[in-house]
Amino acid sequence: MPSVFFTFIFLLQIPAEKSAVSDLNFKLGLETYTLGQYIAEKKSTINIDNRVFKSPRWAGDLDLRPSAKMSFRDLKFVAEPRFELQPQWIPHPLTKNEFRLERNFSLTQLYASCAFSDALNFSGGVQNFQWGPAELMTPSNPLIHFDPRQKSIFWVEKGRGLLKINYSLGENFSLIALTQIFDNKIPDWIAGYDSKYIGLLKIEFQKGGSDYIGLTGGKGDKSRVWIGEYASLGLLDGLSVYGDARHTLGSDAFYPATTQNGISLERIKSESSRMESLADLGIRFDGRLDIRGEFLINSYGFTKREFNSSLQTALLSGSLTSVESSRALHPGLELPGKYYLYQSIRINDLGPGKRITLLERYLHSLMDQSGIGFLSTEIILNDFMLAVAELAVPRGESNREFTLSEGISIQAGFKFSF
Amino acid sequence: MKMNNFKAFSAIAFLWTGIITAAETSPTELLKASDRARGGLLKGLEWKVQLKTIEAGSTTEREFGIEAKGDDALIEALSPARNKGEVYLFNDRDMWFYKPGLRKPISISARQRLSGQAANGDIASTHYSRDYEGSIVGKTKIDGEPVFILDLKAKDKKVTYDRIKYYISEKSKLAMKAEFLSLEGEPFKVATFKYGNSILSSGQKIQFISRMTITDSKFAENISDITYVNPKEKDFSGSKFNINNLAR
Repeated sequence: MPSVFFTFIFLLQIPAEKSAVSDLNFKLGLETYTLGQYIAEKKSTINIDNRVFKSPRWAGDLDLRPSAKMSFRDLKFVAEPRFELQPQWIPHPLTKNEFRLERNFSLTQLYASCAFSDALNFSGGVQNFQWGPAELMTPSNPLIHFDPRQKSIFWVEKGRGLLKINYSLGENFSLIALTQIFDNKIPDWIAGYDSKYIGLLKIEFQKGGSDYIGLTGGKGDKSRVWIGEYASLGLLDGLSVYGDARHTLGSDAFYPATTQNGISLERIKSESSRMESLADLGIRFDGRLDIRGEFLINSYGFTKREFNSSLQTALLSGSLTSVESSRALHPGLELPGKYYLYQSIRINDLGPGKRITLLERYLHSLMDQSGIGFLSTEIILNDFMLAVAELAVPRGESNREFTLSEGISIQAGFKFSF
Repeated sequence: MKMNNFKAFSAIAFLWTGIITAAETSPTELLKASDRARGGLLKGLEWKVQLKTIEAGSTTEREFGIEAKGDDALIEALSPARNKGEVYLFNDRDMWFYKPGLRKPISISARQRLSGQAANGDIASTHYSRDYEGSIVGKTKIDGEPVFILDLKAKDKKVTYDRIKYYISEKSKLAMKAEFLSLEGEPFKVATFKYGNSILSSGQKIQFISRMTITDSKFAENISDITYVNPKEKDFSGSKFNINNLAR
């Protein structure tokens, strides 16, 4: 493994473009994060002795993200593997503490694409294809689900195994057909009941950078037909409003239901013909500061009572090893509540030499008035090294949506780029 | 006395010649010709840009690879290492930014500062004939060369500058200087241009920009120097510039 790493570093010293043929381009890159993390304990009645969430108190992270891109005329290959090494110290106050060394290898992207003409482009492989104007989430894209960790600046979305055809009529109109043929080992969004194969059509019309509209629709092998739409409209210089939504008849999610054996999670809305919607509506000001405010409406979400009932199932099971109990945390909802507020502010070019970037984000649940705030910073140290830090602060009483398992956490370290 | 008459006659003749020449020269044609040497209005073209910024005594350097076709341009950051992989996509007057770690491209403004005095819109191909209403407001000389002075007013808020005082050579039709004006009409940045490159386009040799130097009008020590390297005509598929195909 070290020899592979140093060979890669050696290859990076070769000039960015080496071409035997003038049209052949080859580019290598490597991003490396070395981080330390502390997560404060949060008392919670569903996470007694840290048995349910197994949250580490201290953790380290060595995260290697190499990339290779090769292009020849209109043909392109992209490979972005990822290696992670994470030592974790996990406290169990009532039993024995645990030290764990997590080793992960994953593929962020590995795909080929080819432009057959000015209008027609095909790509296939593990790729990360996302769209839409909203920052919090993209309901019109059911391939990618919301993950609370994605708000971190260290988060990387794993690509899905996709075949994609993009047909463009002029510059302003795109018709995209894509199908997910494998899920790239992404954990189930609906525990034990997730679609592996998904077909999707997307039509997009652009009038300009802030003015565009798109429609999506499709179906998964285990999910129902959905339709979605997204749009952005520029109002004034730098000011735009936008929205992104998805609709289905009924819901595939698991909801708490009283059965003969007590409360269990069931797909009680699977036969419903009522239209359910998830919509993220926002406003953005993009000037010296990039400021966003978003309002999320989630008719699929739990009521406060349903949320508490679903947590009871996790509490009763005492661990998340069974499919039934893990459904309490992965019931098939992007977020568990019905209404949320989100805001973010990005400030670039701060400090001496304009070397500091600050990013502040806050997500608030109107279901139980809990929330989580992030404050992240990147400081340029030199051409290949950044100091990075992120503070996450959950807010609210115990056992609320954002205060179930973890207290304040801080993650800091360095990012190296070659 | 005779000498004075001669001077007066010469001055009037020069003025009239200027007015007649200006009247015969369309601002749009001048802008189209000058755009061509700055990457605009060509079929398919690629080049590299080295951007050196001196600001408040510190120097930073960045390098970009640029591919342009018609009204579109794709710009990829090549160095320093911390910026590698960042991509700027221009579709007409609209601009998108993507960098590794971002989930999706975000729309940004061409006016945003890229580095030092250079705005995002400064490093791409130039389309002033498309983006500005121009009128010839006079003539002067730069380095002894007669130039037209054009007053450019933005057709759209999305363009890099609201108003530009643009100096185009009468002979070569190349832009020699640009004063970027504030809303009050005061220059806040001044750019000068050199044309040491040439490209072969459809069998015709065209002079191409080799250097653009942007200086802060108030703090002359703050400079961004853009060097254009190895421009060449190349055929790209138009789908390269589609936001839905943007390399991620």
